[in-house]
Amino acid sequence: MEFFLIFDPELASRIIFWGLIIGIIYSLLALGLNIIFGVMKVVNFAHGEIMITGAYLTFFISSFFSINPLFTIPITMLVIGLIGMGIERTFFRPIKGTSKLNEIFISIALILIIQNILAQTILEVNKEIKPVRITTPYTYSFAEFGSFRLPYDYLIILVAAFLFLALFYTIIIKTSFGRRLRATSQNRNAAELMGINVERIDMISFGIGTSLAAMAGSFLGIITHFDVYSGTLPAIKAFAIIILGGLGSIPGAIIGGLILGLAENFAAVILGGAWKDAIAFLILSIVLILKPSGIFGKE
Amino acid sequence: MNKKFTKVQIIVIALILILPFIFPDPYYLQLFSMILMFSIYAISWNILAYSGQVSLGHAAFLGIGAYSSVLLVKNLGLPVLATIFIGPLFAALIGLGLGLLVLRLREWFLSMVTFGFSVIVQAIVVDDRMRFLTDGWNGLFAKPFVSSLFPYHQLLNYYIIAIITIVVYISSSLIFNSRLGYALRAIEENETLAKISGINATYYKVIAFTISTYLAGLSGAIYVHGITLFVSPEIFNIQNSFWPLIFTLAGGIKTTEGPILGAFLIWLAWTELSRIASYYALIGVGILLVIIIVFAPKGLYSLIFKIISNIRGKQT
Repeated sequence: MEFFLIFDPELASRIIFWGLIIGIIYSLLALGLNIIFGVMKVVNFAHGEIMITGAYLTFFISSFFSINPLFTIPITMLVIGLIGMGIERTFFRPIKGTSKLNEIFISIALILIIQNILAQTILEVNKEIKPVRITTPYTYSFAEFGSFRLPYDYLIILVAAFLFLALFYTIIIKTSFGRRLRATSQNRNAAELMGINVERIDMISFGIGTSLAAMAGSFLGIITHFDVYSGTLPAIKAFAIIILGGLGSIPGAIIGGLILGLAENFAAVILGGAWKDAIAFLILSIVLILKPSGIFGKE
Repeated sequence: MNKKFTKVQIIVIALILILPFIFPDPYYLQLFSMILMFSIYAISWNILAYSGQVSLGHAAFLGIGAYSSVLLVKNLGLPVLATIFIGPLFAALIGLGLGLLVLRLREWFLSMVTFGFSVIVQAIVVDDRMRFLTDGWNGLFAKPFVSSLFPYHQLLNYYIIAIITIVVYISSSLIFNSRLGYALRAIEENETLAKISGINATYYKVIAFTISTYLAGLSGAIYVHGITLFVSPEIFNIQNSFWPLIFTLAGGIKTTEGPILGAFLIWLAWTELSRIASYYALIGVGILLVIIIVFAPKGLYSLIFKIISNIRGKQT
């Protein structure tokens, strides 16, 4: 029975490690979505496409100038953040307040636009469209722990992501900008009355959310192959995470992401590969059916 | 029912019936069959949206209807024209169950659970333990409505789909103007108020879920028996869950003609532009969708009516 395989320490540690690394990517995605949702109450289904745009940008910058991709990630984040602000301004602001469904509609249109712009660009640059992977100087080197080989890249990503998340959390909690962002998220009208330019906060928070997605995408590209279409489902899973972890909650998004990463990898081994994508929604459905307002929701 | 309403219905029905004479090419027959199938699918989504329940996983029921119908033909040898109506009953049964489970969920949460449901159903269909029935990712062949040995089989195929579409279209407008429709509208506006007025919200919401999932299953069965002649787990893909939302919102949500108008215009633009085989064309479709929703936030159908009434207003 496959179930007993997880008691094998080597396999279990491999699953846990792989789960954590995927989990940190989900955390970054969910965190970005949650910032946007918290401030604007908008769900951007095209978040995954923005993530993949970030992955391709890191891929092209690092391979074109042959720089270590880990150093190009900040550039990618800055560029994608600016693009994100532009997206908020041109796509989401004109339909703000019409209806929730129109927001879903426009983000689906955005999926279509971004995917095909990416596909066209890649076709022109690379002459063919096939899954690519970002290579780092350490792609083929491993840290050996007995029979367990650990790629250096994974360690670097884990450390970098946790350091970044700690810094990010401090900025949101301690700085005046963070306070303005949280105020808008808690009560938009009151924040506006206190002299906060909420429209600017909207735009900036969208930029922050998309740059977090760009970081997630760059990490994804380092650990696995990706193509134009591999962003859609992870972004919707990230939305499931923020429903479970609490809408607007930063620790909820981070911990939820890590748990999902672990759950997916255990599900793939225990239930079979087909269940990897379904497990997030299975957990979500069970929790919501038992407690319709979510784990941290108020009745 | 007022008189103006019936005029629109006659135009829609007449257009559906005479299209093959305007475009007799088999390519267009296939394209219009596809559009009619998508119209039923969008109408089914619209009925659910009418009660304020937004599904992002209707592909689950599209697929369940399709698979049930194909399996009934394959294993029990029933005629296709019967299974396309019996198969969706299974989709409706599952829809009824899901409708009961998600009753208490708020809008976003409901959308996510329905979305997840389509992913879960796909996982079940491709699971190794279901392989004996569904053959996993390989999929199954579906028997056509009309054998290709038959003369004019494409035309016959089109008219079978056309008649079902017309029946579904008329039923949906009857539903919207019935006690059920008014109840659903009241629930969508304000559920608490509707309950106070003596409307059994639970009952009507579950009824809407069941009717909607039956029609989604029906469109799935038509899709595989009338158009692709093949069903695979790809039917549960995200795009198939997004299409009815795109069609309905572009055409006009909560109108009977909106889903048909949206399916017609968007799918026509999509396929005709895809034929140019360039990614630019699909970027164009995306931009078109953005323009539609920014300039006609209530859909194209209401925009057309606004234009007509403006012209009339100037004349008098």
